[in-house]
Amino acid sequence: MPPAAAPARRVARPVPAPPPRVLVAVRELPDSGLVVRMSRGQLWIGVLGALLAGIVALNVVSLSLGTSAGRLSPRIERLARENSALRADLAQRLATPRVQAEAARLGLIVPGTDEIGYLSSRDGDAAAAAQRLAAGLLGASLPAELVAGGGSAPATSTSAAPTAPVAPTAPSGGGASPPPADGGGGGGAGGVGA
Amino acid sequence: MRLIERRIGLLFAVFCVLLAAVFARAFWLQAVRGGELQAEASAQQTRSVVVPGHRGRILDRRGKELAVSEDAASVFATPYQVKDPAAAAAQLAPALGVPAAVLRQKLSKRETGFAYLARKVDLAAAERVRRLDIDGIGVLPDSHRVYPQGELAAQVIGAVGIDNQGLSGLESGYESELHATDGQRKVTRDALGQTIEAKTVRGERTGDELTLTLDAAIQDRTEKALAEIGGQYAPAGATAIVMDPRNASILAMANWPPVNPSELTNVSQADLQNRATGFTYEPGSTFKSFTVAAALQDGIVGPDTSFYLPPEIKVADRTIGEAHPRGAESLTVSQILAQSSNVGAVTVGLKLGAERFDPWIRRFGFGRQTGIGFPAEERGIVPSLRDYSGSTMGNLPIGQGLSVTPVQMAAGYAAIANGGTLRAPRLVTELDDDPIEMPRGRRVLSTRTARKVLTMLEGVLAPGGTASEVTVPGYELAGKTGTSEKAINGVYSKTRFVASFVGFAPARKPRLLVAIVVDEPKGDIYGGSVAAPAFGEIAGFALPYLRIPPD
Repeated sequence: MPPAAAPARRVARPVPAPPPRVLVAVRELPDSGLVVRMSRGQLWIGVLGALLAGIVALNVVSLSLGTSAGRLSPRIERLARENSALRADLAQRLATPRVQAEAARLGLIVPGTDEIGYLSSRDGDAAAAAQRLAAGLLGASLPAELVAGGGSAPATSTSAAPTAPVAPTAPSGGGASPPPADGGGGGGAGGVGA
Repeated sequence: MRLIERRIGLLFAVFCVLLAAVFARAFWLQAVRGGELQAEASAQQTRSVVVPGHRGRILDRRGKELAVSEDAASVFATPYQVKDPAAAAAQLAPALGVPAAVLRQKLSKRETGFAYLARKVDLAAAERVRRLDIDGIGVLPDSHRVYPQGELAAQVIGAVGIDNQGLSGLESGYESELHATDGQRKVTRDALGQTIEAKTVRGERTGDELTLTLDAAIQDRTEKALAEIGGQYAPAGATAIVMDPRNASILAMANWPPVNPSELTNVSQADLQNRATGFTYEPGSTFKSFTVAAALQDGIVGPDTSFYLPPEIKVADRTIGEAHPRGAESLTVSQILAQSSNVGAVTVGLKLGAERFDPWIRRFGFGRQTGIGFPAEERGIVPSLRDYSGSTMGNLPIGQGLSVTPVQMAAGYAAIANGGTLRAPRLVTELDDDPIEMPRGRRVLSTRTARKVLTMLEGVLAPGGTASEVTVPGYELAGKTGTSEKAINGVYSKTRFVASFVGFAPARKPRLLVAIVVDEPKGDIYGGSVAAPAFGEIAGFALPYLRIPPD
């Protein structure tokens, strides 16, 4: 009887390492029920189409806004230029020499200093004025054309008696007065006159 | 099955080749020729536009515009691009208002790369040029300075050059504040030339706004008063300063002859000068007030101190007489000032002495700039004590032998008028709405002394005074006349004089000071008759205008 064969040695086979979880997830993705359902549904096509249309629309709107802003820009510049020209024109029309010449043409004159009276303010005057103003009485004594025109009487043109003595009117023309009693030019060494 | 796989492989290969071709083309266009193509596209689609910044406005104290900037344009040519210079010149001439011959000459210089055809033309003219659409002709945005009040305060405000840089006056003195910076905008256009994008590369900066102490109405009246002097006495020049002596704010600073700031081509430098700060002269009798004020403050004399005055006084080798010969008489210090006695003023000066008198001249601010902040302000000439000769004290007390500017005189008199505080005159009150701090004054006289001098100066406009003809009804006035001979080549001229007057109102509590200086008047020479009446005219307008009641 032959000796019993030794039992065959069982060779240990290496166990392959399991693939990374991410890879497994990616591999299994096409078989995912959700993906299968989504990719089969026609709605998905509509969603993608809408997204693409949205992107295009956004670009169109942006371009359109840029164009209209570009169209507005020269208009703004033109208006700014017109504004500056109008301001300069207004300033020229309101120039003091022009206004005074026009006033003179209309027969308006600057009152002489002796034609203007001044009132000394007293305690309570401001309160009284405020009351009259509130009651709408302040303009009552003004000429109708001033009230109607929204004008106001100059503060210095009140009709009260002047507080200073009033000298006879004497036009103070530039240089038209006669020479003074005293004159110069003859000092001994380069005389200095009055 | 294999056939299908082969076809798929082939298709894949074709797509790969196509993709490779696309990538290669993209690389060629973007990497190799990218810069060149980008530059070409940029040149075709984008344009850099200059946005001119506006120079700051100059306003009077009530906000009236004295100087503003307005949009304009400059028309230029690239001559070698102009195909037919003669035809182009003929088309452009009516649009620009420039003779065709001048334009043709500029356009015919083919070697020139750039030439201005017209500067600072109005926008309507620029638009006409644009519409002509001539090759080689372009329009650049620009701005030009407008002076809405015309000749008003022209020498004070000054003028700007062709490139909007300040040349004179405040335009030059405040150049860094008024100056504007141009902006830049990048405009992208589509194939049809329509703007699709405008990006601001650099924003334009408007210059700061300058608010002056000047009042356009008072300035106008002052200039009219000077114009009357100019018409009547035909002087070489004249200037007037109107000031509020309480704070040294200048309400008017006028010059004659007037100049048009927009037409300076034929204006002489002398006429362009602001004489108030740039004209130096021997003040003559107007200086006597300072001599008397110094002697009063040092307690040497009082208003009623009486001196026995001979007809003439000899100081070293010089003999000083009166303007009008008189006999020996006794005059008080008040009378010396009212009658403007040369002998009396020299006597007071000699009593004070050179060592005490010299510091007083400087204390009142003579010999240095007032601090008004106006460009090219003169200092005047004041001799130093070590340079005094034996006869110097025969000259200085009567305003000879030194030179001053009108604004120095106004500032000195303002110190007397406001109770003894010398302040730097103020011409600019706000810079871009920020108030400029008022400089602190320096006390030079006690209030009591200032009051005494002021009272004495009332005598000048009282009967018997040298300006007794001048009145402003309702108001008490004070002031001092001056008539000085001009020194020509070291010799006092007998034909050329400077007539001046400094006056205040109301006399007891001055709120208005007017200084008038007339250089070489003809026909009449005296301060009392040439300059003082203008004071009456200016004060007669300004007092009620400023609502200043009588004393």
